[in-house]
Amino acid sequence: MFEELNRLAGWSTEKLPDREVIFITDKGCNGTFLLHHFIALYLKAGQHVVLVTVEQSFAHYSVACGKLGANLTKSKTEGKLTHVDMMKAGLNEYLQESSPTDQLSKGFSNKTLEQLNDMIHDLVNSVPVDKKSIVIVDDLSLFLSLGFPIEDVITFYHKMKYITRTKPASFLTVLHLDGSAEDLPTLYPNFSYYGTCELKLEGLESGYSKDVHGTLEVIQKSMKNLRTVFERKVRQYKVTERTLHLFAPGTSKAVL
Amino acid sequence: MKKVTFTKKGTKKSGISIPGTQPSTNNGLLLTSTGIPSLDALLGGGLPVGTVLLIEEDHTNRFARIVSKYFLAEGTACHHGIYLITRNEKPQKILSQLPMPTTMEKVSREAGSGEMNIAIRYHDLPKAQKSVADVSRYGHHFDLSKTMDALQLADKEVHSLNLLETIDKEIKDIFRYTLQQIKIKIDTNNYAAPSDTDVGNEKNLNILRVAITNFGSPMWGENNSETAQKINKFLFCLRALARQSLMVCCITIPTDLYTSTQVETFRQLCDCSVELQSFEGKKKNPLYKQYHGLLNMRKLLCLNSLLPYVPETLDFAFELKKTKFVIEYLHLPPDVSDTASRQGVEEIDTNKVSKSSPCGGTTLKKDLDF
Repeated sequence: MFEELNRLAGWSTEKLPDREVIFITDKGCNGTFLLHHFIALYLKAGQHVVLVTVEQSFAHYSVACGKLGANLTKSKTEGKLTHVDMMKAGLNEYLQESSPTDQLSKGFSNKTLEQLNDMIHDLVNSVPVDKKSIVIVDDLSLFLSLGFPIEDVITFYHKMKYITRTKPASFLTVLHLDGSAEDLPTLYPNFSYYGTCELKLEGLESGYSKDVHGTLEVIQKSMKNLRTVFERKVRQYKVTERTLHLFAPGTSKAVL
Repeated sequence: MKKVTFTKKGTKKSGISIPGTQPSTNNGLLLTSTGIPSLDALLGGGLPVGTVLLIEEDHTNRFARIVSKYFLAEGTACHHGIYLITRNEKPQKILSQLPMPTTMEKVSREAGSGEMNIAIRYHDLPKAQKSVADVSRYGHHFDLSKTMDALQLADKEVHSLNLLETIDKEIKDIFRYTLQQIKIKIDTNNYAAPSDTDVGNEKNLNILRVAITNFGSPMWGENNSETAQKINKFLFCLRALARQSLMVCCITIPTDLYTSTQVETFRQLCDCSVELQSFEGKKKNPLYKQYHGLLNMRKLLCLNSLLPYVPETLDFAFELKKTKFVIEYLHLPPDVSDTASRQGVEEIDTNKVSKSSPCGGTTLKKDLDF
């Protein structure tokens, strides 16, 4: 768990993100490390995690979260964590499909996202009523690269938002802004429209630095007196083997 | 909090030893050499089994080919399974040019050579023009000037797939066909990753090295966004396949042919990416005259940990010597002209060559005033 991020965003094991749609955007750096924080946060709080892996294997999350003090394998056998392996599913589909009629050779059927949605829906429904849960899709923008129509991705995202409205669940995903640039003008507004919290990561303009890995902006959207209030907090960050350090821009230990 | 003892948690590969591999010390990964010690050092010790390395080809493809050859030669030296996939040429052409392994003694003698000819107080400082890696503990060294002959390859598990031969056949999707062939190779030769129950029974385990050259070149399909998407799918599935088998893959793509967005997506779909920029046929910056090209780490390998292994710097240059391919830290050459003031030299030293020894690149020149 990243204590400093919790403090910044007002989360803790007692006060988990409540029915939020959180999305991580990254540009010039990789923001997937933040996923481990949420997995560890929920498991430590004794709540449920539905982990959909597209980008990395379960073994990766298992070892990396172990460094944050969460035992994924144990949680999995206890039923606190459900793992949906989209990587393997995608591979099997790709290998098997040999129908000559399919000129465009889609690789994945268009149903994949719908099925995934149904599966997640069932999994969230099966969580005990008194427990909270979080659905994590480790990379939603990857679906675009794999040739899914952008409408399908947006529909999926919308359905995830629906789950957070009907169940005590949150949704978390990653959007890589570097790769999917062509569809960005349509995709990004949709994400921020449905999202309640954006974790915006950007690499330093001046390039890679050993002591400052980039800037992290937490944008939290909330309703106060019928008005939408945006709360923005900007910090610079540095990731270490086991934790995340946040500091006000320009106050890295290396420069002070 | 801190664990002192080394425990390999959560990986399927625990307790398994395969020739030509070594476990990484902190992530429980099984590493294997790329054949180039300096490239291994950049990757943090080697390429983990189950990953895909993307080489972004230089525009003449000369150096990317050399990297592929090293990758394959390392496989033959370790008795790994080799699977070479080509579309632009006959695989035999590459296989007949694999560099010859050299003996360890020769390499260490080379490394330790060079009589001390500067002041004794610099003796323990690292040499300025240092190659990235020291003599590696595992992996082999190769001599590019000699090639392995067919006899040496005879007893090795070398297979190749010549996709040129498939042009006449009716194959709807060359990308899918390729992946299916890799899958068949893994299944028939039993390169699947062992489950926990197999740990005791590890005698037959071996690594499959898959090398795909000129992937995505015009021979593979028209250069349009549809092909780029097919490549995306292929890379995604290749990585998924690699994760569940004892396979390492080195794939070279002529990235000049694709837009920067498409290339960025390719990078995301591979585990790590190395870009080669050769100076061949181009007007070269006189500062870089000692190098053959620049090497950039475009995507760093981040597996089983929160942050990737980050080398000291991300800017490297490569040089093709008579017998080997070396990756070095990029730094400016020594400024030894008469007009240069000492002040200027020192400025360059602190700003640009901070990674080298305090006396910068000038240690080897005799006509210096100390």
